[in-house]
Amino acid sequence: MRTTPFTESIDKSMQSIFAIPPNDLHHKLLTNWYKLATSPLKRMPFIYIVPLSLGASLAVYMLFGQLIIQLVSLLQYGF
Amino acid sequence: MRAISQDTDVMQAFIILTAVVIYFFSANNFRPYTHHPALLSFITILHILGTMLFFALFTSLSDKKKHTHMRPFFLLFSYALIPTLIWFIVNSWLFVLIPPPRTLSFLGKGFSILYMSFSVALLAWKMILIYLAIRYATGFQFFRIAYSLFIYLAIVIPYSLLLYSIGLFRVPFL
Repeated sequence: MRTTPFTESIDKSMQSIFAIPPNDLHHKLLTNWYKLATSPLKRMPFIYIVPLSLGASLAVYMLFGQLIIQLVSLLQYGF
Repeated sequence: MRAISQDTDVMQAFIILTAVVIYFFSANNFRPYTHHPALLSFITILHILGTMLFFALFTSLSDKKKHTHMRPFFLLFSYALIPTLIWFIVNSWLFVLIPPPRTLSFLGKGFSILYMSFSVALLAWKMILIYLAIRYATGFQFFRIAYSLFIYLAIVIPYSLLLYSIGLFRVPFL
């Protein structure tokens, strides 16, 4: 079969996609949940990570109050 | 990360490790370390290589037929250092620009919330990169990645506490 640059690029893409087998959690429900959870992270994960981390920080502040300020002071000395 | 695992240019990894060394020397100017930054850089690079070797050894023990190549480990785990490097650089600059301790004022609380969300976002990014680095370097499935990480953390956490107790690192650069 004659190879063209297009078929070579397809071949290369297929090899990279199937370099490792797809993830399998040995249970259909768990595997479906895993794919559901990870599919948004494959494109632009920061769209989800930034609001979630802001929400988590606000939640921690609501729960623990002043402890977050002490933790931040501690972390700022951590470098 | 998939493309990086199949890359052959190891110079990228050397650039990232050089950035780590430059960070230690520049952070020393903001707040002098107890030990020389060259020693800290050397120990950090040893830790990074140790991490790569740990997972490479895990791979070779799990799958005895497959020959383990180190280049994907070197590239992927070096790229996984980027969130750590960003956090340390931003932290060192914030130490100079807005030195701790934080107060209970409105600005202090606001900054604390923003700083925590920034740290959590970078931690999430780091976890994603580490997961992908292990996935593409080792070829492991999800549960094997989880327990190999658990074993790794079981070694690293007490070791980090030891390093803190002897005054080498406060937050480990991993």
